[in-house]
Amino acid sequence: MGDIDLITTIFDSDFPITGSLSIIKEWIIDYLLTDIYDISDETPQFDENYIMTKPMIYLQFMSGQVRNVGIGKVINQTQKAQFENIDVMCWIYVDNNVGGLTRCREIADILKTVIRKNGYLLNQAGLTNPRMGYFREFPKSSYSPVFGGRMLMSFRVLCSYNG
Amino acid sequence: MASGGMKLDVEGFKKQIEEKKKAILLGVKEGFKNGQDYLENIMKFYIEETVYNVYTPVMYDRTYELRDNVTAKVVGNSIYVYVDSTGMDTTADGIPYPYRVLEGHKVHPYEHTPNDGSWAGYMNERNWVEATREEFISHMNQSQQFLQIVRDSIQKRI
Repeated sequence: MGDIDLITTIFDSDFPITGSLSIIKEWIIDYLLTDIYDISDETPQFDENYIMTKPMIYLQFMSGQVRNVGIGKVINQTQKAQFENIDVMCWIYVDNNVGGLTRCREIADILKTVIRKNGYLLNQAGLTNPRMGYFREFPKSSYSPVFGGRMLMSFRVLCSYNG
Repeated sequence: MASGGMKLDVEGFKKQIEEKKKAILLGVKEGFKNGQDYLENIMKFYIEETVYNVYTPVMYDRTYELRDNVTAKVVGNSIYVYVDSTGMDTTADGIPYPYRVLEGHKVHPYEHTPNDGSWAGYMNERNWVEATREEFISHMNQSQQFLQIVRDSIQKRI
């Protein structure tokens, strides 16, 4: 974990899902370099012949519920807005060639630590009240040599629009 | 001498509080109903992960009855999320098939076992209930989504 970098991706109210995923990706890349880890928001496909070259982090959008700001949507004379609570499942995939569960737990530790120390960067980027849940390991399935763990990440975004 | 001060309508105030309490309770119940689909989907996700995705059977075909029968139901002032076993196929000793996995072959013998008498992985007991419940509860404790559905329903009532 090196110097603290500000998140440069700007949250776009019109694209709350893709926008937040891009911000999380940029935030993770600051601590887990992509030449050592793969970080993706595309569903990975593993079969029994899959060969892993580096641990993979997959960000899965779970669900988002919208709610009004205060008792209505109006935030000023020209704009309206709604909050959206978003859950993202953070999957960490490894196999025995890339360090196995030890590496997987290390990644989980790093993510938990940086959200504790530098979670405010996500706040500044528009992902407010970011939280990372328990790390849970999942075993190797019978059709793939890949295993790992997952953690639920949750936060809230403000989606504003003219109206 | 002129009389001053004001009269506080305590009884009227009490009545208003009682009405608000009723409205909040109605909002909570309505929120539970509105959140049923959400809860079912989250439970299905964890059943998929803790039961199905860890193992691909070769000795039998999956029915997905366990996942497909996840139900969220409002009863009184509570909401229950469970697997409804009504109508499921049962074992010889009357246990719905998905529940046999809990205690395994030793307690509820499988009809079909390997011909050579060996012990196959699927015959082991697998406590998917505890694993799923634990994950579901921790998800609910962290995520604001269900609370938000309930809050919105309360807000509409008051």
